[in-house]
Amino acid sequence: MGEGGYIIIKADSLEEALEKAQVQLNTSKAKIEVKVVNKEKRGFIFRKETVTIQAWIKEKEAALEQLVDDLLSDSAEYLERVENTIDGTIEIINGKVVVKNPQCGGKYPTIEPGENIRVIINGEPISEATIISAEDDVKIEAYKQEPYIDLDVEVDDDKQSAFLVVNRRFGKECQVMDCRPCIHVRVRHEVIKEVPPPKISPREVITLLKDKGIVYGINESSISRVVESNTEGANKVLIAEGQPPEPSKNAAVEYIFQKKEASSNTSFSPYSRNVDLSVEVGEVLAIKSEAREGKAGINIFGETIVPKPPEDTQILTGDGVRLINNETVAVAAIAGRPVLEGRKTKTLKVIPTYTVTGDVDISVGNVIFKGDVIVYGNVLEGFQVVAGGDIIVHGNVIQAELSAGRNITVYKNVISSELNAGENTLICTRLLPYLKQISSLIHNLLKAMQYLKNHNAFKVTDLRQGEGHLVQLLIDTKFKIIPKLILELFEIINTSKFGLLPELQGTVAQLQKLTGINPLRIQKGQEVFDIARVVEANAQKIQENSELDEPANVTADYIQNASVKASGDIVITGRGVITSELLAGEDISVSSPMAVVRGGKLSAGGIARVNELGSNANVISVVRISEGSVLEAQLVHPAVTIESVGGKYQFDDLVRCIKAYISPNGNLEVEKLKAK
Amino acid sequence: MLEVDICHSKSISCFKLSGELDISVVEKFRSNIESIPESTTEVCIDFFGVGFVDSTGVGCLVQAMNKLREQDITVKIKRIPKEIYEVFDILGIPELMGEEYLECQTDT
Repeated sequence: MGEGGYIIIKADSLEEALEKAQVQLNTSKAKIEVKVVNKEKRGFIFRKETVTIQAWIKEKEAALEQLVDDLLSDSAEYLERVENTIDGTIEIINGKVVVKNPQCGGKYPTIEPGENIRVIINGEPISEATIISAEDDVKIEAYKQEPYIDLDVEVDDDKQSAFLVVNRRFGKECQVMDCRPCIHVRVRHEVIKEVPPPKISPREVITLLKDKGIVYGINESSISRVVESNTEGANKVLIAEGQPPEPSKNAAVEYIFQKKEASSNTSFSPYSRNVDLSVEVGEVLAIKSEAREGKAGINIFGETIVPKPPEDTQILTGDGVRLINNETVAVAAIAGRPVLEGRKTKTLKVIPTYTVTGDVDISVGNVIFKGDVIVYGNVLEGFQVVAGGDIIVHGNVIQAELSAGRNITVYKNVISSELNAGENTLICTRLLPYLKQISSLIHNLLKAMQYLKNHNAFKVTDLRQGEGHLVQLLIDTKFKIIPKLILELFEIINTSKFGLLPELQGTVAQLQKLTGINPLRIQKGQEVFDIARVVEANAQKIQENSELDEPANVTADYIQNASVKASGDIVITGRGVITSELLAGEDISVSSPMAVVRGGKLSAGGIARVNELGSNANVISVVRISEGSVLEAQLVHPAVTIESVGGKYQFDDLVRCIKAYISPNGNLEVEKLKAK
Repeated sequence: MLEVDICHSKSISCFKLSGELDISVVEKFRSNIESIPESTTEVCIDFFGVGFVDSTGVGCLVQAMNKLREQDITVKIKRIPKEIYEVFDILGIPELMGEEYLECQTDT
């Protein structure tokens, strides 16, 4: 044993050092205390350890240093020793710490502060697990948490709404939780009382809003709601709301005809594909809605917010469109096809002409258009061209139907087709003399009735049942022609392709009362007078219309097996007319040097000039002339017949230069020079 | 009231009317006219005693005349009083039937 009562031993390992110490001290391992002084490692590949220890004979039964020894000693021996030790403990009773030291080499206890707990050992607060012994001065206490409230106002970017944000935390009074004795203690707390934060007064909120500058749209009831509620956590309430400005409405243009276009594309028929839109004069094409200034709003800071001023826009118009009503309504100035041109800036136009660059066939479909129609090709079998204005066909018209409000021009041939130019006008002008005659006859009939009723020798007792008997008698006797004329008139109406014109409906219904045995149903003479009045009014109207309407002409090169009606002239420029029916309100001209009219029927209201009429094969050709019309022909073959109200005339021989007309006394006159 | 004196000879039947040719007597007049013998080729109606006519009466007369004419029987109306003839004229009966078959009574 050296100075201090220990020896120093150097060995290659700890075990070896302990063995040596045991031998040198001459005692058992259990009774030696050692302290490792130095540990050295040398070499890289074959690592060699040198351990230097201090060793001395133990004085105390259980020493801390023994633990190191234990670790190095036999495990069985160690366990045997642990079983006999008692560890130290910590106990918390009523908030006080009771520490017991270990016995027989047991462990010292540790203490650790938990949440909301402060542990002070020997005047020093600790923050982590710390070993203590019974000798230490340990104090523990629980923190107290104060209630917390936070008020804030959040304002939206657009300054239109403000939110009151209330953040509440309840205060907590805590105490240290008791704990059973154990070696490791984490001191916990328990809440014994929750303390709510103080209530907010509405005045507080209003002051806060005032501080923030919020003056408008404050919702009092929200404030009181915020004030009333008292729950923990964040609470966000809309507390003020501004009056947003009503945005201005920009002027916009609505193109009405486009809507129509969309809605008309419903039914499909191979003959009526691509229904092309057309408008009449005066039809509304577009309406501009006025720009409207929005209403100013006010934000929560009481600032007035002026909406953006509205943008105005214009209806841009091109040809055929007129602006009315302070430039807010665009109407068609001409009939035609409305179009909207341009990519960005749209210009509204009405194109007066519908153009078919090729044939009117299955790819185009029927053409029904209110303006003019130009066809650069042919009009083929089964198709129909209806135009409110002119129709111009550069090719042929073959088994087709053309109807025009105005002129029809066909540069080539018309074969097996039907052409109507201004047919309505034509029919009306044909009806007019009938209507006039009928109304004057009815007046005469009424006069006769009146006269008879006042006649001495005429008894009127049977007329008490109705004056129809007398009307029927007069119509059966003196006025036999009335029903005859009415039936002829109906016949003309029925042959019209367009059916009954609306303005004639009333007349037809009235005139029916005078046909068959219908007159017997008449009760009073007044009824007959009413019929006359309706007919007269109708005649008047038709006359006015026909004076307004310009006559529509038909011009074609050659016509075969066709029916042509025109309210104006019919002009054939080429080889002539073969077995066709021509009806003209005015003149007919088939007068080019080689032109012939073979077969068929001609009827002109004016002068019919024909180069050659009929054929040497005695084909029956009929020319009908009425009062005021004249037939002039250079050459007339036999079997040509002239019909008129004043009589009938059939040519038996070939004649040249004839002129046929109705003389003032109503007879048919035929002036002729016999062929040599 | 209408009285009809009928006198049939070989080919001529004569009806002498007196009274009023109106709605009340048309049936009687019609049956009388229809009862003529088959050999008759001419019917002569004497209107001398007729004072009044009405629309039904005239209608019946016209009908009867048309019917007889269809059977190729000549109908002649004789001694029509001036007033009655005026009525016939207004109704266009002379034009319809032929003026030669209607004989107006002349004031002599």
